[in-house]
Amino acid sequence: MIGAMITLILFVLGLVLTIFLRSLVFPTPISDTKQVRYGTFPGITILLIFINGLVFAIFQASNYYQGILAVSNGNLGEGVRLLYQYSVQVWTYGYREIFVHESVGIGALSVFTSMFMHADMWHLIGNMIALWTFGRRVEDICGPWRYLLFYLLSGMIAIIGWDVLTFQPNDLPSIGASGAIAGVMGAYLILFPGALILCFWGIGIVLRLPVVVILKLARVKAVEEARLWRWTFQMPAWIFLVLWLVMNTLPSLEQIVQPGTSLGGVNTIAHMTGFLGALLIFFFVRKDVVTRYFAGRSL
Amino acid sequence: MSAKGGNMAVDPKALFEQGVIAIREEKNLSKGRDLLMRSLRADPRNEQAWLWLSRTTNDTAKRVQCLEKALSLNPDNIQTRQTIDKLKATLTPAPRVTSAAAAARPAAPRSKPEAAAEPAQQQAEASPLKRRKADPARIKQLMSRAQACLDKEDIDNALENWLRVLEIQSDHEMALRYAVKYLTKQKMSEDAFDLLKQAIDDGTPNPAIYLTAIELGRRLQQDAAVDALREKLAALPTADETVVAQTIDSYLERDLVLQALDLLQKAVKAHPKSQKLAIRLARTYDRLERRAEAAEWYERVLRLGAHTPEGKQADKRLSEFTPPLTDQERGSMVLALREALGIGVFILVLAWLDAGLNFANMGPARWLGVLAGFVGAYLLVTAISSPQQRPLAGWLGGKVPPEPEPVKDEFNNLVTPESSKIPILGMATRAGLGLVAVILLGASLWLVFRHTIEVATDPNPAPFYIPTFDEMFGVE
Repeated sequence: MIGAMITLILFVLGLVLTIFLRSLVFPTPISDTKQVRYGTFPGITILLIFINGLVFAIFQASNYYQGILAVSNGNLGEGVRLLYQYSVQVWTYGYREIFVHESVGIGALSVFTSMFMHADMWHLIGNMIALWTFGRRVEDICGPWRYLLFYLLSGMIAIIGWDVLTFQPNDLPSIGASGAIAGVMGAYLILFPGALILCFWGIGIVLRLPVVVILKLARVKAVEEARLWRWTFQMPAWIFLVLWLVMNTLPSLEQIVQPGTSLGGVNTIAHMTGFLGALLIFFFVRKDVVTRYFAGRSL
Repeated sequence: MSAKGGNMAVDPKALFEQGVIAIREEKNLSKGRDLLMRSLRADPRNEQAWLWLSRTTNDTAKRVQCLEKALSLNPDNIQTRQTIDKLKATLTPAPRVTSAAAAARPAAPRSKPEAAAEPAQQQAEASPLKRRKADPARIKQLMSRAQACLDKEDIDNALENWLRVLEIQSDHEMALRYAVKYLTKQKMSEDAFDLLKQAIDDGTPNPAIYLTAIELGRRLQQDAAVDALREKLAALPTADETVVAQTIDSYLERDLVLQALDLLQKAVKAHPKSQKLAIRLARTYDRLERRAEAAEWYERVLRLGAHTPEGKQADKRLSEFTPPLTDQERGSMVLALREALGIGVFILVLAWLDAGLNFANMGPARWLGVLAGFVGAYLLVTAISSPQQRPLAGWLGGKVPPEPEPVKDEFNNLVTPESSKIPILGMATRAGLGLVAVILLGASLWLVFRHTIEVATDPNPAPFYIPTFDEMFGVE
């Protein structure tokens, strides 16, 4: 029991350290900093995180990680067999054009099954952190069921967008919740552009230090009570989200113009189209949000 | 509609009763006055409230005003008429007050111009602030004389010189400070107070003078004058916002909420970027149940800075204001259609997927499914979240909901939550609409997604390509 606890603690610490190290150059959002207005518990966001985690843990993780472990332990045959089983799962339940265009396999249901599958733990963690950061307030402002519909619709638009914009036939499977989460992020940008996002960002926290020192020496009132060193960095949501959109749009455009360009296994086109799906958010927000938004009032 | 989030209607009767209790039992005149004034704002036709209000002030003119108001509501009240007549008889024009000591003092430069002064200087001294820049030499001379007298412990002559300086420049800091100090020591506090008031009336921007005057006025129990000074201080742009905030806090601590509100309204104009004052104004509106104005000011506090303590307070409070729906929003068919359209788009995309992402393949069944889905969505929205659409609710027999019972809020005031004034569909109608909606949506989902479900559940599925082990790993 104690051993298991220690293992768990070490795992969590390792996780946090890895996330921090991965955030040296590009920030990783970990939370937003504002309170919700409608006081709703983010049940659907938590449910989605739970379902994604459950699907990965039960359905995919054992084949994938046991396979890697076996290979690293020298048991090549067994390892490769397990990795092949994992691949078959992805090829069977991930989204593929033939499923929809030729009505084979699980057909259009693959749009939904692919939304809840992830390639590996970091794919899952990265997506779920983003969902946690941006999803709660979007859920609050929509209400739980409208938010769920919007999430699923964004995921559908993301994958359809990828299908439509890749002009050459492509049978590679696509998995991940990032298309749907891109829609949630887009909605956040439309609704709360000025909100502050708490991030891990290596370059940011290092660069922050001299700026804070200089401002404190100049006795600027705004930084009087600011801490000299922080492990996290707050940045306006619009900066992060626009940066993220640009980082996904440019390679997407390159892929559209020059099909066959490798994107390192990341479906940036789905990210881009999912983000654009956020334009539908006003069909899903609460009534009073529409009138307040267009009256220029605070949401 | 929750009492917490909606706009509240004030109960004047409850406020009146609380005001009378404050005066009669708690002997708290200022609290009683505040409550009665709030009651009268909501219901100015309460004769008794005006009569009680007249008892909360010592100012004869104000008492007469209140009693006249009561008399206008009940002209047959002989006692009120007699009281007014008695009070009016005591009202005489008030002369400019100076203390007896000042009148007896041989050198009284404020009441008599200095006879020995040169005529040019006398003319100059007649309008002090205007001549400030022109007479620094004269001021310096007088201050030196005063210092010389002080060194010889000749306080009276020193005082005379300071008073002459103040005739040239009524807010000369050193002269005023010494004059006030020594007049107070000589038990001539009222004269000291008059000097300070003169500087303030002449428009001094120095907040220290106001603060000293307020402190002295409080000691002299000149409440009306002190209140007037506080108002002026609040509106002074050069006053430190912390000082102004403290002044206002002193009103709030004594439950003088309306007076605090007046001060705050002036103060925020003078200090438009002050979060301290803006949050106090927001909290004061909050306390007076004026939620719309409170919310507006909390939002202004947030715009001034969301990460300060005031900003966090404002954000927290705003998050407790669940934004209320107006009848316009509740009754809007456009907003309901918008919601239904969101569900409709979802169903349309499902249909398009089912058709292999080819609109030409949609076919009449899928289009019918999309239409049924949209209609079902609209009925579902009407049943659940928009049962007050106009004119639909009226056509389907909806009734205006009854007014809710008053409840006590966090300030222990009885308030009646605002209720909707437009018809709402009955529960039976909503249940019926909901049932039809569920059937239509079920049918819609079957029509738009039938093909996918059949493919996915086919016991003999068509084969499809999955890479073999060898293709994937090249291992024999």
